[in-house]
Amino acid sequence: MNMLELVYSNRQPSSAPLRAPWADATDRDLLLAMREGDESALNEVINRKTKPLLHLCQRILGGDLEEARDIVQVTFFKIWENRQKFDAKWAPNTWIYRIASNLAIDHLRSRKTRERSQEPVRQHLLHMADGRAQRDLSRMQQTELGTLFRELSVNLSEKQKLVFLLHEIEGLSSPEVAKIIDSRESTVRNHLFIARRILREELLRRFPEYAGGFGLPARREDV
Amino acid sequence: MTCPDWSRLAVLRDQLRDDEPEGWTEALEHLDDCPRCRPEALKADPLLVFRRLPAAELNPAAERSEVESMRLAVAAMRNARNAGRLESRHRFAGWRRWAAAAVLAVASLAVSRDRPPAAAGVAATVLPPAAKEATAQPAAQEPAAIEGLNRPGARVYHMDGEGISVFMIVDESLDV
Repeated sequence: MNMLELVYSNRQPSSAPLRAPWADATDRDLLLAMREGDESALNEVINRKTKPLLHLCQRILGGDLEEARDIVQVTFFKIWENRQKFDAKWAPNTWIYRIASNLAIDHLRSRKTRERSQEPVRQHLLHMADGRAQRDLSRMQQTELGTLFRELSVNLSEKQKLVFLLHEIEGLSSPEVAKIIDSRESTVRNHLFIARRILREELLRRFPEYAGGFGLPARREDV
Repeated sequence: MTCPDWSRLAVLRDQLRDDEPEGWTEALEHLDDCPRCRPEALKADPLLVFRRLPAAELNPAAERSEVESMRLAVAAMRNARNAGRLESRHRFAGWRRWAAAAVLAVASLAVSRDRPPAAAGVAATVLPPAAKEATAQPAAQEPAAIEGLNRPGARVYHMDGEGISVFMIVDESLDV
């Protein structure tokens, strides 16, 4: 009996104590069951992935929870609509994260277009923020950090920003990130190197007291 | 657990570039829960500050509510999509009926044009009712070989009525 059959057999009514029908199923089992049209499997995917996807999208979008909710909602809808395209050879998380991050990046692009008209105002606010006395980095509130990252990451490309978030914040490995952004591992490493360098330079420009650590960012000319 | 040696780890990480030094992951997990060693870690690598980028803090109850509203929203999207599909299928079915009627009409016209002059002549000849019945019956029983059609597998049925003449072409080699 394979895992999928086992899961289905667990869903038969029985005298055994009630337990979550998909409790023992892996993410792959769920996506395979969805491919067969099982809607309860979609519900379990929503159950498992809502929180991590909300976090990822919220970070990509610079902290906006409402926008992140919208993106995650569309992500689940797309997962269902494209369930036949899921290949059992793929890592489920990679496939799901890829859909979510693509949607979030698309949303960022459309937001950028909307914001372009407000660019002079934004630059002015950035300038004001630069001039203000800033707090200690280690005591910053999360919302302040969100704003700071949003401001600093303006200097990154979409891919650089996504790679930084997936690798440095979400803790995914370079091969996983490469699959999500559909690039080679070497490209991921380059994006990551550049993103780290740019963010560190910007951060040290605003908080020069932190330059005493392992010094100013190293330059690598071959990138 | 004692706080990790951040300056050593940060230097090692910078040297390795493509890899993480041993104990890096554990050190990050420690950092997430230890405000004490945060200043030290940030001095070693200021980018570590973004480990605390905002993410919705969801307690179990809030997470359940978030999941439930997500389920409802996704179900609503799927229902809306299904309703849209059904509507377009009905609309398409109407067009399909009209398209089939048009194809039949064109086929009928084409076959009428392909009829040999002799056959047309026979139809035009005025015959007594009994003779007309005698000539029409074999045509109805056996499919007529229409000249110019040039499709060996095709069968043509011809039905004559009062003021109407209908030709039906059956060709199994056609994939409609």
